[in-house]
Amino acid sequence: MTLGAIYALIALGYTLVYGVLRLINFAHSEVFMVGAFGSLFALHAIGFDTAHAPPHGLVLVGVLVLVVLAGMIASGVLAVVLERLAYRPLRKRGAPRLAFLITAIGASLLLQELFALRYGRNALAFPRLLARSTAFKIFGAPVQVPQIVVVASAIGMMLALDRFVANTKLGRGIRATAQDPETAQLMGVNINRIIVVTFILGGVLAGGAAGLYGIYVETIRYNGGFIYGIKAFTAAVLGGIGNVRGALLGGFALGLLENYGATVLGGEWKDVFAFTILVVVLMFRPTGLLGEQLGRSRA
Amino acid sequence: MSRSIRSSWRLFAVILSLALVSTACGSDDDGGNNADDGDGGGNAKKYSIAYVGPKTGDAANLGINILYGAQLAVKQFNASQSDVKITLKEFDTQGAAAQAPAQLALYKDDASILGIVGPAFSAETKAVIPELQKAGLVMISSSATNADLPNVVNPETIFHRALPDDKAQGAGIAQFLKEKHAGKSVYYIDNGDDYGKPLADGVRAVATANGNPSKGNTSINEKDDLFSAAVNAAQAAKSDVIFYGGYYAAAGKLSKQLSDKGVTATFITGDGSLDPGFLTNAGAGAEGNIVSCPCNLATESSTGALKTFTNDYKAEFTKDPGTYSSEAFDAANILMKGIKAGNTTRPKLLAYVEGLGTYDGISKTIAFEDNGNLKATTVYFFVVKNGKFAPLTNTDEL
Amino acid sequence: MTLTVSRLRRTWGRRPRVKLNRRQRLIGTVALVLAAIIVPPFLSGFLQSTLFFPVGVYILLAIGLNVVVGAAGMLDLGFVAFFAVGAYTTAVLTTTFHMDAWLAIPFAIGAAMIAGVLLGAPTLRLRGDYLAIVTLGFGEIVRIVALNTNALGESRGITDIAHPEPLGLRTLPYYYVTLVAIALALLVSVRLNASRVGRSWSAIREDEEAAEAMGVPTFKMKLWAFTVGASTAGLAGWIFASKVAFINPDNFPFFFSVIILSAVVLGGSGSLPGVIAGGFLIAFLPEYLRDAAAGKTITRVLNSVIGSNATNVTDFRVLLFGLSLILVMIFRPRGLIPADLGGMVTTDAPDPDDVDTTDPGLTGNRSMQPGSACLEIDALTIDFGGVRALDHVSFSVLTGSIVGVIGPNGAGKTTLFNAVTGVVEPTDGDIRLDGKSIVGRPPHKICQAGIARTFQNIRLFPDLSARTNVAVGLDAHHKTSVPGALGFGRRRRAEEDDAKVHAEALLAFVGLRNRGDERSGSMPYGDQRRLEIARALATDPCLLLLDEPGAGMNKTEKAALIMLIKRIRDQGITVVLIEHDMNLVMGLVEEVTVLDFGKVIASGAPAAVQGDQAVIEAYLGVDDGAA
Repeated sequence: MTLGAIYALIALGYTLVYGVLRLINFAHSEVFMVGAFGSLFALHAIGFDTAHAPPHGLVLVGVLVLVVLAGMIASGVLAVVLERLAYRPLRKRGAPRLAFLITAIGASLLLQELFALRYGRNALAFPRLLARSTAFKIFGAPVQVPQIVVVASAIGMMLALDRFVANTKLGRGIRATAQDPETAQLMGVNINRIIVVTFILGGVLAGGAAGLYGIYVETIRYNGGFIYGIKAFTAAVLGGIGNVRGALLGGFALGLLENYGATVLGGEWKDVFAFTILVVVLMFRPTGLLGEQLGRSRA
Repeated sequence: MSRSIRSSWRLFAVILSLALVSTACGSDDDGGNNADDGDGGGNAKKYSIAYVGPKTGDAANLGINILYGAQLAVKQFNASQSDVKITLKEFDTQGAAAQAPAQLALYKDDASILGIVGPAFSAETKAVIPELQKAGLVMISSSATNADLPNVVNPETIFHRALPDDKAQGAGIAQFLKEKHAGKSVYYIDNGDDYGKPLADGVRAVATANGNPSKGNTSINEKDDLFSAAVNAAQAAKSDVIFYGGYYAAAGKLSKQLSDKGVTATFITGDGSLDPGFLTNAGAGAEGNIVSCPCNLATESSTGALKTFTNDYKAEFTKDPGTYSSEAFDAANILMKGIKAGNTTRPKLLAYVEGLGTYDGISKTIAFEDNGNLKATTVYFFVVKNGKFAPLTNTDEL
Repeated sequence: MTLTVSRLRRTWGRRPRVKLNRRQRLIGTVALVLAAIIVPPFLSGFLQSTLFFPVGVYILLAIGLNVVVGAAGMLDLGFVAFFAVGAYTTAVLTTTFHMDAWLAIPFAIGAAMIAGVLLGAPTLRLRGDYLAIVTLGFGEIVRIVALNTNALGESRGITDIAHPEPLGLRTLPYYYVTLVAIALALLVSVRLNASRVGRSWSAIREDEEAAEAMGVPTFKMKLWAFTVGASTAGLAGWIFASKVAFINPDNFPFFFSVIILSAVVLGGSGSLPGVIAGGFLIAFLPEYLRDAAAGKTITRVLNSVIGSNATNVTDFRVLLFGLSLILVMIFRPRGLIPADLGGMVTTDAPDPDDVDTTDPGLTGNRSMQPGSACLEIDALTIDFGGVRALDHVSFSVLTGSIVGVIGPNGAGKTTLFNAVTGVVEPTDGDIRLDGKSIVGRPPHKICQAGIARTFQNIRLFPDLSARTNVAVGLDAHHKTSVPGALGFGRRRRAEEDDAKVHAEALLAFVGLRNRGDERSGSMPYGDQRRLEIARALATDPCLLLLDEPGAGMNKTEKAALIMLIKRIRDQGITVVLIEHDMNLVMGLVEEVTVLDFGKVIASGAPAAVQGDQAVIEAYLGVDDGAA
């Protein structure tokens, strides 16, 4: 469930970019990874290393907000840089869609290696910010404070995104572009601006996820984004890629499925279980659980 | 051939011929790295030994421990005499069995290489043993501990290792449980792979027979961040001890998640976790965790030759020796001693190692069984104290 | 957007400046092949080993994946799965069952093909990106199953896989085996591309729905693409396993699929020389950088830039690889050696003497009697979600007539066409062709039964030549599939000749004589409309559905269109057209059906309908009639 919330936040980035550009932003996993590093460095900057005692009260709230904000900034900036340096030149040249995919893979490798070379290949640890105390129990299963913080913040961010897309001018621009870029442009929507905003939104959400991940999992590694990227992408497809609520549903569903699979079949089979469910879902609902809503299907 | 691709062939031709030219130019460099590492030594006869293991990739840390141990040995050996000059050629397998055959193709055909320090990991070792056997190239691994390795091809082979195997380690851990945690119950977790699972199963078999009841076992996927299912199962098992068979990154996370859940059972794990990465990942919860190793880790508090080695290593590489550094030092020295004694062909060096008798190494006294295993079966235990590994005991003292 | 589109066209339309003639090409190819045969024995062990793996194996895999990605346009992110299946099959057969390594070849290939069908059958109906994630999942499933199955050695892998004797231990023989396999894979690709199969794949890649409507059995052809690609990977798996004699699941990570895909796209998806070059570079450069002398400088520079402390250029290999992927894609988005017009598929011009430009070779109304009902629509009802697009629509079309369907926007005209051609399933009611119900048949079957169509917004296969577009239509009645295309049977020859000659006759029929080599997507608008009609005619229909054929045409072009439609009818073909231009409709058709909000509000002779009050209110009253 907790991981599901993180999957869902990252999945939103895939979904938004896909909705607008029909592009699988394969480097999104690295956007997440860099966000986590951003969060960690922000902690180091204010003197919180692993030896630091957990903060309390207002300081704690402040530090938590800082961690998440730092992740958001790092990821948001990276997402824009990616769009500018890697994708925009391709769009200008009218490159085929496969070219975007390969560029994204290239960017992904580049970023991973950059961080591996600079910060080593071992995991870096986050300091403990939230004590692992049990808040309450559901059906005998204890729920710990960090889990509540992660899920609540994630849902908060998702609601904020939903409002943003539904109610603001930029949000309308995003939806219009997703539906029909050419008409949207004729109607005076600045497509390039919309694309940048979309990347920022996706990046910020991934960064938020990274901050929460740092608080919850307390470690990050140069290739730490990879698995989450794949999982989030799967979640996005499961829910219906291009569909904001689908990403949410897909994320939580995948989180639960994995946990169920791990409990019933053992940890080593859980990915097989999750992927099999995905295939079965797609066989009966070829555009995911909720279908594609952000943009209409281009049959 | 259709008309439309005619022009493409031209570019293709250019690329391919460029590539072939560049390969042809490069062909005098035959892959080994430090082939001409200084040419002092006058009329010293030149021979090579090979380091086979990871230099890059995720397992690079461990590989560097071994590589530096071997490098130090070669450097000191070359400085100590002028009859022969040994070059250490390095082959980067990234610790992956998948990469091993490609590297094998390089050192197998290099006639100057008489013996191997390595391969580092069991899986990569297993991948190349049959071919090494055919090439008659003797190997001494400082770290491959899988119990099946001597049986990959028929016994009495090129295979040797400078430390006891996982079976010995499992028995050693079981002995430790019997002596230090008599009658206590144990829950077993492993990483499902060729190292972790046999190790955990091995401990479980002996320990259960020794009166440490097993409360069950489960596997995890080391690539995960969270092991909720395993942690919940371990918590529900309410054992006194939890044993993990697997590598340091996951072991650290597992230890942390267990203590976060409020599980107070003593956490014990094997040599795959004897790495600073375990401490980083486990955090404060690792205090009191116990890590076993068939290796004799050289630390600040070592004594005698091992202490000298620690100081030399620090002076050379400005860092502490790591897991398997001392074993690699011994392995390289055995090979070089043989070469200096005139065993300057592959069959001769193999015969020398086979008939080694005992060699007084810095890590331990080394004597090989017929199948290449070490006669000694001492397992060492380290405890996490103030965020560092500290020697606790070993099976000889128990 | 217009700007972008024209820019796109320029990129696509650009031809490389230097052209080689047939002889130069032959010499170049022969020189390369000779070099590949003669040079390796003189290279160092390192280079020999590198040339076998990864270079040779990557190239072989890239050629296989190119069938899926480059030819048929399906994104496969789990190609390594088939490589793994081939390797594991070899491993199990030669160890557990002690089979001779050579004998294992057909099993390795066969198992990979079966895996291709198993993956393809349930998932190939998915659209591009969904297919991508499912293939990714499949790749992971295969690896995880191997990792957790005792018979496959779990993480221990399988050791002591038999070498094929007398190849033994050395690398070089395996290099030559790989070379032969590459040659075979190339031959397969070239043979398939020069046949109905290759044309079908191109059509699917360009526009799957249009391909299906032109009689291409898209599902079957996609499955074949998967299977052919998988067979190449299976063979590569055999070579790999029998050489290295040891495999474990680590050999087959997701990253491997990514690398092979990068090789295909980097080299030039759909271009065989490109794919070979891509496979070569992706495999060779990282290995070369490992030990290259230039490494020291690169290491120093990069260390200072990144702030790392790497000792060897090896540490930067993946970084440089990622960087070069980005740069190549930005500067050569269609790959290093881009596929020309139509990827690997073109249709050569026929000998002009063979072409009878006066006879388009159409069967027309077949056995139907003029005056009988060609198409009957009976209480046809279609619901989309809660919206009723067609509501008990009934009318019939007499054989040999020209019928117009008119109505305001959103009246359900195109939905009607989609229902007749099988794109949408009716909620209720029946559609009969020559008295036989065609409801529930897939579009390509309906096309083969004799109903062809054009689209409201032109849907040619833009990257294919005009002639190839028409040839795809002709293939509706061709039979050659993969086995036939690989063999040298007479039918394939006959069909290919028919495709060339007949296509030219049809192009002449619509007034596009000698324009067959043009890229269809770059032709002027009016020509594209006519080409689309030629493509539809190529399926040899008895009933032709034209969706706004006059849209965007000027008066002269429209007059020519009227003439063309009449000539089509004179070939015995029944025509139904949707049209907004009342002048065009009224001057051409014998009968008009008027739809409004999904219902037929009038039907009959043009003059009568024009006077109908309901029609005037619903349609003519709103529209000035000359739009």
